[in-house]
Amino acid sequence: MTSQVWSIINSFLLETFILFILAAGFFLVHRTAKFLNIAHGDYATLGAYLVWTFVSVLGWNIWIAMVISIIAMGFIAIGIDQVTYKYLRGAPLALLLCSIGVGLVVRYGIFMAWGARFKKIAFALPNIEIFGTVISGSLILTLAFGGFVILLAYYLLKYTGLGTSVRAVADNSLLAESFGIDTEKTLKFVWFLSGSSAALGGVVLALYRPLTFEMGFMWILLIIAVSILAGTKIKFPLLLGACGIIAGGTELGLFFIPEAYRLGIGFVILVIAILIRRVVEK
Amino acid sequence: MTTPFIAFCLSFLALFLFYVILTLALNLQWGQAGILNFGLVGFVALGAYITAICMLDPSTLEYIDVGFGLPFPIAFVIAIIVTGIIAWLVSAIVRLGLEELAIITLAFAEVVHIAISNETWLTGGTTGIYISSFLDEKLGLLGYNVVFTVVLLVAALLVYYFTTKLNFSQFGRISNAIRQDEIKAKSLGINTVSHRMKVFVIGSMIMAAAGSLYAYFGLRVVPELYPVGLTFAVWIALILGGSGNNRGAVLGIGIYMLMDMLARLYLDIPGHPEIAAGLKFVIIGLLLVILIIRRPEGILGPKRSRYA
Repeated sequence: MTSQVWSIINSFLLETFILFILAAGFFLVHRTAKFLNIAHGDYATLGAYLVWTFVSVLGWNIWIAMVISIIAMGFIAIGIDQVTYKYLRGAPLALLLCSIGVGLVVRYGIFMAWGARFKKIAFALPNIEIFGTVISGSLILTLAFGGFVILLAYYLLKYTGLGTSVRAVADNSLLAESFGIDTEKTLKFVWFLSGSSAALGGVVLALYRPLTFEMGFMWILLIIAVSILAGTKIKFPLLLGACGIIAGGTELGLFFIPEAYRLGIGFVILVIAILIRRVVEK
Repeated sequence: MTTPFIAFCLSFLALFLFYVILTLALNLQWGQAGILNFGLVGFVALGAYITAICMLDPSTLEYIDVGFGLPFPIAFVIAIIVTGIIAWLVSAIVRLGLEELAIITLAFAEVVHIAISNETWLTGGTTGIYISSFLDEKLGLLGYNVVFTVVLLVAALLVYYFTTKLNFSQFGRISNAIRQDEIKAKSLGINTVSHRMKVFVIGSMIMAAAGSLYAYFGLRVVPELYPVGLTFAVWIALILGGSGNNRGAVLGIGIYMLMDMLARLYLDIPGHPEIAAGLKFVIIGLLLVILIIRRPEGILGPKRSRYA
């Protein structure tokens, strides 16, 4: 009985924190650049594949590979923004369409470069035993990364100048600009954070499942759902709460509905999320 | 010119006409009313599967539990009406906030795809459903393809005529007004939500009709005939040709199919099947990005009535 309860808690925590790390960057872009970046899941995939290449092909240390991949993805996200999204500022529908194109390019670019075969990042973590229950090292690492993201976001948004300007742009970008905030510079910062947190999310995903070129893309609907549910202000604790609701809902739903419909359950929760937001906004 | 070759050309033409109908339907939704529908393939698949299930003879059931044995015309009408109701439900749920609708329709298509792949008792799972048509046995390969193409041609012309008429009618002018400035349209007393819902349902019904016709003549429905990529193909064709312009829509899908065929014929790198398979999608994605940034109005640009 205890082990059953623990396994449910385990998968609930996992789902919540993976979703949170994946959604953090998407959420930030959604609130500041004001559009749904469908390519975000593919950024995560690219980050994980970079780590795989550094570790398995070049033989680097895994931690160094992670840091390099995270930083590289930040700059790649800025680069993509500079050549594509930059020309479409303030047109959310065009940006949405454009991000679908970007997603296709990144996703199938990965497919062409690394092939369709499964890859696995070699990453051995010791398990820890607390009060007779074994907690896997990867779960602890996931929780630690999640905590790191939330603390870093708190610090950046609250205590740094750039973070303050991010909040100003999110509230009202025209007003922010008229007060002398450099919106473009702020957005570059946002894209860096978005890309690097996506890479972190990809690494966390890779702890549990083999890499495929579609692994990030599969999460995009859930990411959108939590971002919509988390409300209109940049508040990361709310985002974590939304992730908990979605993950808990999915876990509950899986009692009644077969595993193949996991995404379908996410869809239903997404609809509920949108309806809730409509009611709250009114 | 051998018979199979002509039959092949005709079936290619039929596929083109099928895509034309889909692009025109999407143009009605996006080009005229500015509705983002990323679930196009879901509605097509619904139309096709409802037709197939309605037509399946209950006396010959093997691995599927449901079948009604109805003749095609009745199945066709049922498919359109049921899809219309489902489209209405989808749009009613979100009351057509545009971004939300885009995501909901994307998710909807995904769920339809999962459902038709897994619910073997209803849809035959990955084996699909075979449709028996009395025409098939009577006419032979060539005759069948000729009838198939002519029916689709008539359907495409009807849809073209209908959507063009609609664009230049009062209904179309309201659509255009809403797309251009929703708040202004509201201030003129237009019920923008209900109007958009109407456009969404009409477009989805046309998609279902196309799916139903194509399934009947294709004699089989399987999940892999309705991949999510079909949605993006039609989107790109529409953006390429010029959204808001029916002639542009036809031109766009023509160019797209030509590119697709060339890629299939010449893009073959021995030993690296991933490159050929992936490159197609990379090119599609790049085209989409470049077109949206550089020429959002498409090759022909929009064609509006004087008042729009």
